[in-house]
Amino acid sequence: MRALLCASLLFCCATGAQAAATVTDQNGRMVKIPDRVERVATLVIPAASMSIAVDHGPARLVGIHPSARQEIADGFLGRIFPAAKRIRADMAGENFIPNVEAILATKPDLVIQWGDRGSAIVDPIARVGLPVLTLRYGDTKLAAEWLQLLGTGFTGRDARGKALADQFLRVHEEIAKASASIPANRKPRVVYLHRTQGNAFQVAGYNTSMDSDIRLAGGVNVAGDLPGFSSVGVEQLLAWAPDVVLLNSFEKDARPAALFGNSLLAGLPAVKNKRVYVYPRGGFRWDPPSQESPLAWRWLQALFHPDMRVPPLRTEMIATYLELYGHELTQSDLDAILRMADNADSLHYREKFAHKEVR
Amino acid sequence: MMPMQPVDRPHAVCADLRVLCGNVHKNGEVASQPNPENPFERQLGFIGPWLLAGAALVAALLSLAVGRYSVPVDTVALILLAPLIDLSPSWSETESQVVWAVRVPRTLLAAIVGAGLALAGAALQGVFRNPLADPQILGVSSGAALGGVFGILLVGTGWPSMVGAFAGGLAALAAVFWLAGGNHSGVGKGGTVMLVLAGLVVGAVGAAGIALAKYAADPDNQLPAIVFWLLGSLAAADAERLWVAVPPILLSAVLIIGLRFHLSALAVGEEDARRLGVPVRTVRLLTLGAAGLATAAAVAACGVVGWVGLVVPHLVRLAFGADHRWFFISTALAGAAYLILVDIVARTAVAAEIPLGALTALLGAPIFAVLLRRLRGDAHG
Repeated sequence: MRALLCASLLFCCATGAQAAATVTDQNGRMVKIPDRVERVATLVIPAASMSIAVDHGPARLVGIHPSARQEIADGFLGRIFPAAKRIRADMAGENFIPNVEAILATKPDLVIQWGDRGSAIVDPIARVGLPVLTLRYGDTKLAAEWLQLLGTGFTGRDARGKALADQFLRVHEEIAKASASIPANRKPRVVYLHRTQGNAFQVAGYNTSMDSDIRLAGGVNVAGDLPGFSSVGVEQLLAWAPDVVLLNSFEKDARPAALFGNSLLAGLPAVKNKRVYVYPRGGFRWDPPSQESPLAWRWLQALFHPDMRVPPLRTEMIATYLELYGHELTQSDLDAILRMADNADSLHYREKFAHKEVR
Repeated sequence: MMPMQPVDRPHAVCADLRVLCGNVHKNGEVASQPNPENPFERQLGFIGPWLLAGAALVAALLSLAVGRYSVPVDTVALILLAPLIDLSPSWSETESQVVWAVRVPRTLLAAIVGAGLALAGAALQGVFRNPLADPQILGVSSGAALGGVFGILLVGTGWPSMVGAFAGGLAALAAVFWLAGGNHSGVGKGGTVMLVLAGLVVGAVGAAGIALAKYAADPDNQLPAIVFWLLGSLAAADAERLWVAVPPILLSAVLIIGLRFHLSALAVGEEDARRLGVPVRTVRLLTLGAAGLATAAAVAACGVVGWVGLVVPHLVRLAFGADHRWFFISTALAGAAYLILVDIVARTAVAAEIPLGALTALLGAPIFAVLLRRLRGDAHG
């Protein structure tokens, strides 16, 4: 049935027909996409910036999650697309609970929502007759399909979504192949700290995108046996003795310098060897899944395996941003996104990612 | 019948109250002999503090010896002795850090918070003459939690949440007093009911405020911090948090233990206490203030950890009787031992930290259910 639907979808696209298409979303729901989608609302945070990438701008985005708007306002996309800072962001409450009337007020043709957090946050939107395309969180690879589904959602962007998804999967495959040849004893032991305040640490276990990214880029997630985002004590961190610590981009004060100055953590190999890095933040944060995840994988790969020959990240970033947002990055843009100042004292960071003058 | 005692003769009052402790019949007559139904009560009451001090010490030593980072027990002992006797270090810097910077502050904080919450519960039970009284009854926990959440929302985690919790806890207490009739709080006919209802109102406002604040919080940054803090954890124990918790809890412990004879008289009945010259209103205000202060300090240091104030005093009463000479000291020591043991489970059972508040509720509810059944059995038997 699913194959049949996909086939019919492909047929529609191939013939360029504008007739309504039915797609199966990531949670097996059949969604009828209207003939013309001019207004899209998304409660999924990363789908906001991804929609801007897929649709060459925020013109058709009429409602987003408050966190997504915060991210746009604070980050890079707000500068390229100032209009995105004014998109309505009053449709989602705690735990993505929809405010159906606020959603209706944006008069959307299509709504994007998480589908793996129970039907209670999806059904109220569907009940008022709005088509809801649901996405699934987990392995970052799932985001390839997000690109494709958003391409289908935004009328006329099907080919664009497919092209971006293909590119996403191509890099995924390339990185996976490189990591497959790395013997287990050469893989660094890595921990992602989702929360660091007050020495009450939270790590990313299985079923998180960070876990999948660490494994993909040739690392071992020391917290891989714990479910989701789990709280751990200092002793557990010391017992794991990770070679690399990745700091989240969410907390304002999460910086390598804070860990280097924390006497409790002085015994961690990652701290001793200065292999602590804070995630970059571009059109979206690089720790959760997004259209920029392929860049995040290359960044991780370069940090996990500094002697591996990899394409220069800055060049890749310039090409990717041109493709995603039609924006040409300057060297100072790149410094800001890669957080060169925050990561300045971390091992290999400047040598790997700093701008090199071309003679 | 006892003669009326002037208020300005505290020693005489205490002497009379000492006789009164634990040996009073319903009509207020003082029995000169120990309660015949429980002949061991006085003896055990005396032994209780020593046994419990031993238990707390054993729990603390166990707490220092175990953890997710493996340090051999003899190494732990050497690390602990190192400042006292001259030893050449045979241990790593990390092992020393684990013992001194992780386990020592965490054990001390568990002990002081456990003692504070248990004492607060015992004191409130005495004042209200209600075995179900608990810091939560007064709305102090909720108020302190709301204050702490505002601290996180407006400034950030760490000291702002502590300052907020203090302010919120004390504000909740002030609101309860005002609602219950100011200086006449809890006095006279229906006074206790009014106080409990005022606590209920303040607690409800606190809970609603927290729910709204969570809605307003940034879901990426603030919300997880708020949820983690509200569940209660000692993971962030350090010198700073000890400074937040120790002075107020010590102060309220001194107050409550100092007022133990007055409280025991109050527990028998307000009229009897007054006849013995107990300044009822002052004792009540001081005790409520002390219980509120201890609760706010505990919430400020490690979030909301419930049920300790309810379960521990009852366990102590069950094991050693309610002899008020020793009851409060025993309760403080038992609270310390209890929370140290619960925290050992919270941080060693699995790789992830189990929220302390979840564990105390999980353990507290069944223990309390058993106690309730026994109380019922006693009442019928």
